[in-house]
Amino acid sequence: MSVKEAVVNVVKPERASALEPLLRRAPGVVLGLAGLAVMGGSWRLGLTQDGSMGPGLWPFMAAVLLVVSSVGIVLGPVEERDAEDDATFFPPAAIAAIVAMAAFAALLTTIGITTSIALVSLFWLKVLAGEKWLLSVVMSLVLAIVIYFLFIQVLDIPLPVDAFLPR
Amino acid sequence: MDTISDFADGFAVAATPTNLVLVLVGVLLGMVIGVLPGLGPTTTIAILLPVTFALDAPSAIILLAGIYYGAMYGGTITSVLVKVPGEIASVVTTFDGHQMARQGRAGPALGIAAIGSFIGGIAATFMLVLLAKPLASFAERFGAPELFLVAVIGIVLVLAMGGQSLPRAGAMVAVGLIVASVGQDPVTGSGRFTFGSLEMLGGLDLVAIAMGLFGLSEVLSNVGKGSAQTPLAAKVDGIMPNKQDFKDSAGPIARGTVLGSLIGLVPGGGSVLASMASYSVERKISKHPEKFGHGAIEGVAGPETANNAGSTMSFLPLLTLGLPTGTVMALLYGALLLQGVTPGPTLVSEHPEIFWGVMASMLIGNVMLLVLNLPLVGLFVQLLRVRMGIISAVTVIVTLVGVYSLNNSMFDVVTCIIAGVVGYFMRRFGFQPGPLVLAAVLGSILEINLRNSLAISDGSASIFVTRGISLVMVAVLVLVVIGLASSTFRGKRKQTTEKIHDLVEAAEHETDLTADDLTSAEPGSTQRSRHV
Repeated sequence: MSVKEAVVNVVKPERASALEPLLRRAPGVVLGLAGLAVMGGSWRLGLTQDGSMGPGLWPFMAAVLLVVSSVGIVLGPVEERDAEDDATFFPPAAIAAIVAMAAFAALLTTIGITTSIALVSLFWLKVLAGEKWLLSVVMSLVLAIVIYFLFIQVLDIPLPVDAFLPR
Repeated sequence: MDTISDFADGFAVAATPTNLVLVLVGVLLGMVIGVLPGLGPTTTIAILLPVTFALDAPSAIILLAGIYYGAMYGGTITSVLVKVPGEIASVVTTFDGHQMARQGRAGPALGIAAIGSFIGGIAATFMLVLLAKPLASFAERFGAPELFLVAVIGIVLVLAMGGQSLPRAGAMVAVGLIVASVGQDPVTGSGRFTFGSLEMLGGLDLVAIAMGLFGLSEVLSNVGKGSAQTPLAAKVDGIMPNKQDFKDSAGPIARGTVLGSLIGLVPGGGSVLASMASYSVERKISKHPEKFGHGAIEGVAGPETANNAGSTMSFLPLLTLGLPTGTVMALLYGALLLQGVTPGPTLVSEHPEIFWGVMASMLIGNVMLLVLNLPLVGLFVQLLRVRMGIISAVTVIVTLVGVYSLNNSMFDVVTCIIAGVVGYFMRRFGFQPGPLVLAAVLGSILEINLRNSLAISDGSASIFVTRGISLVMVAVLVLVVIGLASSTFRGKRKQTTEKIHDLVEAAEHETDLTADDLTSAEPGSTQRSRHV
């Protein structure tokens, strides 16, 4: 066993046990802090105006509910999470998927709908879903063509069309 | 007589070639979605909302309603044949439906489910039609205080019946209300939480948020996971149940219709609770409760009838009071808003073509389902072979193109992606997005009616107890809150919550759940907290 492995073996369980309760309480704490921030923002908007409800009172009431609920979440029983869930809590594939979605949003307005659908769905099918090349290429082209005809030609929705295609 | 002529007008709307095609597309799409793993009716309706923008209002709701009750049928097919519930309300059907399939009686199980669903759906549609006009004309007397209280009762009932703990459901409702308050103040017009952004001044688009929370978060949760092997489907021979099957099922179908219709009316009820309640009742009153879980046809007939009756009946509060009673209804509310129609007490009188058209389309759709369902069973089973990666790619592209097309706005696309990421973490931490979307839809109704009520009464809250109808509503609200507090205190709510929790998990992760898990009432029998 290397020194590194030995250190990992010793440190990992302790780190896991120290972080685990914190991680489980984290959603309640985050929601509580968000609630407090909204309460502050609502206060600044004004809770009353000329003796009636001001713009801030309604969100302030919702924020109070959020803070009270978050206290209940933090003090309540924690959700049991499987070891498998911990290992894949935010897997690289999910990050890649979010990047692909953002890339699609950027490409849509720059190069047009059909090419961006073909490119992003090809990436999704080949890289994220691990499909074979042939199926990925055919599926992405079919998807691009079907959506072009459905949204642009049939439903006449004004989406950004590629320069080489008719509207 | 009025009702008959209104209904006839509804048929004139529903029977146009376009709307007939839309009903057919809706029910077929719904059945496919009910069968496909990972896609439920909520996700599908969320991602298809922008498509309905190009249709007129009755056609849009006809299509979405078709998807909704089509999915109820579709989920049954896989529950019976492969023990994989396509959507949550069908989990109960796996208990006895799949056992029947293993005994070589898959056909009668599917047959009685289809017949029960048909009867439940048709009976609930007629009840809905009979109740709609009196309820709507009564609700037309509602002023701001009553509209506020109806929405509050709706939210409290959703809290009471949700499949998650009270603090978690409360937090989701609060976040939904806060999301709804972003943008211009409805009275003064000043900006709230806009951070100087012009786009934020218009508010966050609820449809974009729902599409992210349901569509994209579902995809993110499944990305990188391998597809499960397609389970071997049971063989389907004759589909017609025999004489004894019909005799055994008559009572459960009748009770399922009544139970489903009643539960469908209650906010937070819907098809899941309807099928659970029907199964429990049938098992309790049966002379042979030991047969349940081992292929009792009553355990298929009752719940299948109840879930279709429940999903049909849940249209009543939406179309007559403007009160969505569950997530799907909240999305339909959003679809109507997209069309420039605000659901409420005046919908039936001001937009009769929507109400009666949708009602007539439900009858047509249920007949289509009965005719199409059984011959297409073999085809639907093949759909189980479609891999999750392919479904995800199509879902993402359709969602993002759809959300952009709402307002041709990149801001909506960004909102949707952020909602998707937030929804992903919500799922990982065991929060369900349903109450959030419902509260986001009801948020503006609640606020504007509260402020109008207080403006009428010069700021005095006594307006809620000095008017007859609102006083009754306050009493109902107090009773609901007392009931909620007492069931939480006695731990009963926890048991129900965990049962629903288990159903959700069984539907999402294809885990084994038995009839005993659902119907046992002993404290501690379901005392496990699970991550969904």
